[in-house]
Parts: sequence; structure tokens; C-alpha cells
Amino acid sequence: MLPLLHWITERHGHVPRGMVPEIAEALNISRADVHGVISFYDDYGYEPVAAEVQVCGAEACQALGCGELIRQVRRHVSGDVHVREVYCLGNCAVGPNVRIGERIMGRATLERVAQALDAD
Amino acid sequence: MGACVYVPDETTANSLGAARVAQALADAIASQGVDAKVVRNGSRGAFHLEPLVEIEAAGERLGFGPVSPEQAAALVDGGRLADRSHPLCLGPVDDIPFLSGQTRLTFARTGLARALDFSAYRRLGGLQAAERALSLAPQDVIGELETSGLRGRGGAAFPAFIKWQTVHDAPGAEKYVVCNADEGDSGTFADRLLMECDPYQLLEAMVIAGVTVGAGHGVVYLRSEYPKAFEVLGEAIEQALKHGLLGSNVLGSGRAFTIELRLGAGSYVCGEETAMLESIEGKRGMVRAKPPLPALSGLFGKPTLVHNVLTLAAVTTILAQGGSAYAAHGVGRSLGTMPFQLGGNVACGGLVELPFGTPLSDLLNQFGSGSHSGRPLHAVQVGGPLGAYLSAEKWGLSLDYESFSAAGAMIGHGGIVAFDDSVDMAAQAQFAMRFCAEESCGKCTPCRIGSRRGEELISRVRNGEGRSGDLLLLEELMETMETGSLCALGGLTPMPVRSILESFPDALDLSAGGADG
Repeated sequence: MLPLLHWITERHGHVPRGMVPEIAEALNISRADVHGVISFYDDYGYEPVAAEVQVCGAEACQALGCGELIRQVRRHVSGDVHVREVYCLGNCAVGPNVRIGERIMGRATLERVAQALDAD
Repeated sequence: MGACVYVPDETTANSLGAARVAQALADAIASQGVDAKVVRNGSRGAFHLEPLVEIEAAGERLGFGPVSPEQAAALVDGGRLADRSHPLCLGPVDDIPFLSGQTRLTFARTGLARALDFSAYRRLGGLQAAERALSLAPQDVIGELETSGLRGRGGAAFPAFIKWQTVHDAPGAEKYVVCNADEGDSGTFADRLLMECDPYQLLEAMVIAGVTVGAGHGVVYLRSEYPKAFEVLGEAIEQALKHGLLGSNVLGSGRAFTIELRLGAGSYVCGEETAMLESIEGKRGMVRAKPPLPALSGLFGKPTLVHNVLTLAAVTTILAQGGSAYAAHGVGRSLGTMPFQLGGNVACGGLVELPFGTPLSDLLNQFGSGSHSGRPLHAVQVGGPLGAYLSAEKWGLSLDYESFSAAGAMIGHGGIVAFDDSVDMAAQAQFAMRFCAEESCGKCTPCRIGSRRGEELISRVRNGEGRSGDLLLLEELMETMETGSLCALGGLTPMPVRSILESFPDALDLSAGGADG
């Protein structure tokens, strides 16, 4: 189930609602079970996401002021960019950390995040 | 033979510009016609020095760092590679105090070569453990583990050999080995570093586990926040199949073992072993009640050996060097080494593998070198989001399971997060409850509801709206969570809160609302 949902999310950026019955049938489980899994995991969702900036909000980044960084990034980005607070990018010795796509940025600042977003 | 210029290809190094450093160096080497090649090695884990460039020439391996992409080209100057006179030179890499002061067993090989270079893995001592294990009877392998004193490094610290014995003795032809690589604790990155920089060690350990307990198939459950580890491990499995470490005839023994890499989907609670098994089976990551133990009825109801990355990796050292050599490190019932991870507000963060029994203050001072911000350190959280916050008078604590447990704290997965004196400890207490509320699987009430009520209560007190009896209410709430939760998420969330109430009593004044109820 998870590999399939990852595959769909990679291709569509989300799980289109209309695919739920098809997934259920392919895996021989109920539609409720498919919905249950999609709604449980943060990586899956029914809504398309244009672009996402993940800012680590866990303790090691809190110790380096990620709270302020999250507020700054939220104020800075335009409406179609989704800013998500995540718990731990595993880069805890060089925080605060930001992930844009597959790229993780250590010692992140608003300026560097803005540059990276402009470059995309 | 020309010189070798190493630039780590690892998440932290790359997050600080290592890929651009490597490119700049390759360009400079090509344009100036230097007899040298760039190799993307793993990281040594001295993250304050990343990107750490190593230049190996004339039998010497010198370190330079941290090197910014802008400084990189200057390491090749006038057709010559930089030498000891360069201002960024750190001397021979092995003599850098942050590294030479460690006792590296599990992380002995990280950073020495390209992570996926299979012949380098063998040259640097890899495969000795599996070859020895294959020559021993399963009971003798388990005996080595018992002698070593190895306990689960994921946090629970359960004696490893008992799990192996249980799965080995369990009836049934179909068994599994599952590696828990869902390293979700804030402040931890040892699993990631090992998988990105020495992936064959993990695969070799799983092979040993499989042939010992009688399992033919292994699963690595990796969190989706680790894209680099996913890429490296995936390729490592391919290479291991090609070189006969995995497959139908493991190292020519006639035994079969395969490994599947599975990706999580952003859920913290899936690091709990039974929630992880549910997730691998394609379900919501809901915690299962125990018993039955996974060792008897685990993945798809079959006997399953579940271990964290570091526990499995330690097995290769134990088999290669012997259980008693491993047990010579450490103190009391905490034997061997622990890869501690120094993060948060530290000047020098990274992977520090030390024998159990080292004082926490040594780690903070000798390795961490104080705070990153330059302000005085105020609090240190050990063991992830469910671990205790320790104030300065407790930093003399010996880093071993028993000493920490006696102090109302835990070693957990070895994550150590430092905070300077600007930290708001009441906010940290509230966050502990909020984190539990966000990540709870929802199956048991104390965790699902208790964490919400706990967050509300602490928030109310912080806003000056505390009521009479709040202290008693919080106490009862935490006791319910501790005794009534199905797993460690609800059961341990009160630990950081309690530690703040005890060690930072001024942070959260619960008696403000009046006399205790």
C-alpha cells in the first residue's frame, strides 16, 4: 500500500480522490481502509500541492531559532507555496534546517531560503 | 599515482554546500591539469567541519575545513594542491581531536571511502563478521551476542541476544528480520549517517541476523525524510546482490537472504516497533498491544527480529572482534560503545561514538566546545523528544543506561540537544505535549487525549490563567499517561515535562492559580 501511494504521489503531487476505488480494488481492501491510510500519513493528501517548503520545527532546530524562521518564511512566500512544519530532518548539528524538494539546507536563513525558491 | 581529493557526499555536508565544493574542485583540477581526482566519500561525522575536504597525497591524508564553495578552487593553486601551510588546513584527519578522542567501532569506517565502493568495504574489514558467523552454529553466534552485553540501541535497551534466541527458537519456517530505520527523534542522525556512509555494514548485519535466527527475508523500514539514505541503501542492496552478500547463495554458503527497502510516510509513531510492522503491512501505523511479542508474532504474524540500525550494526563489530572485546568497553550493564549525536545549539556538533560511562559534561565541553550562539548553555535534552531536560548540575551524569534511569532520564537513541540561556523552558514543556498530540497514533486514550489536555493545561498556566489544582491535575494526567499508554510515546511524554518541573522550577509556576486542589 505505502509503495503504491508513494508512486502515485510522486506522479501527481497528491492522491486524486477518484483513484481511491481503483486502489481499493487492486489491493482487495475496502475504500475505507485506503482512506484510513491516506489520512494517517503526513506524506499523503488529496489536495494538490504546488510547491512545499518544509521547515524543521523539532527541538534541535528550536534551539537555533527555527520558530522565528518559520514565521519569516510563512510571511515571505506567495500563496501557492505551502510551508509545512516537520519534525526532524535529521540534520540536527547544523540547524535550523529547511527542505525544498529533495534538497536539505543546513544553517538556513530567510535569505538563503528565498534564494533557493527563486532559483526553482 | 595522483592525489585523491575527498569531498563527502552526505546529507549534512551537502546541506552546507559539499556538492558545489566538489564541482569547484573538479573544475579547478581539470583546468589546471593537476594529477588528482575527486572522490565523494562518506562523512566522518564532524559536522562543524563540513564541508570537510581531505587531500590524500604522498601517504598523508590532510583535512581542510570547513570549505565553502567559494574557497574550494583556491585549494588548487598554481597547479598544486593545498598543503599544511593553507589557512584551512586541519592537519592529518585522524589527528583532529574531535575524531581522535572517540572510540569508533560501529563508525570506524565512515568517511574513509566512497560509501558504495564494495571492494573498499572488504579492504577496510567488511565481511569478516558475516564470514565468521557463517562458520559458526547459530547458538554460538547468539552466545557471542550474550557475551557482548549488547542492548537495543533504539531506546528500549533490551538485551539483544534474548530477542535472537526467541526468534531462533520460535517454530515456523517463515521468519523475518526487520531493521527499524525510522529515526524520528529530534537530535538523532546516527542511523542516517551509517546508512549514507557505510551501508554495507547494515546489510551484512542483517545477513548475520537472518542466517542465525533462520529468516530468509529482511525489511529495512526507512523514514521518508531521508532521501539520500534511500538512494544509497537502494543502490547498496543492488551491489550486495551483485557481489553475493545477498541473494540465494550468501557469500557462497548456500544460504539465502534478501532485503527489501521500504519507505515510511512521515509518521513519528511508526518508529515504535509494532506500529512499524503495521505500516510495512500497508496499514495505518497503529500501535499493537503486546503480547504477543513481535519475536513470536511480528510481521504478517510470523516470528520477527526487530532491531534498530545501530543495534544491528554493532553485531558486525561483535562478530568480527569477539563479544568479550566489545564488552571490554563500557560500565556495569551498559557495555560497548554508544554513537552519541551532538546537536542543537552546540559549537561543534556531530557523531561522537564513546564507551558508555563517559560523563555528559565531557561530551558537551571536549567535543561540543560550548554553544553555537556563544551564550552560556542552559539545558540539555538527552534521548529525543521523550527524553529529560537536564540542568547544569546534572551534566556530570555518567552516560550509561542505569545512571540515566536513576536520574529520571534516559539515553534513548543517544541524541543530545543543547540549548542556550535564551530557551523558554515552559515552551519546551508545552511542546513535549503538543508533539505527542500531533504524533499519537490515536489508539489509546491516555496518549491521544492526555497529550491534548496536557498541552492545554500548560498553555493556560503560561498565559497566566492557571487555576487552583492545576499542579495536581497535571500530576494525575501524567501518571495516567505513564501507566496507561500502550507504547512509549504516551508513556514517556511526561518525562521531559517532569524534568522541567523538577530541574527548572521557575519556568512553570503551577501554584500561581491558588492553593493546590
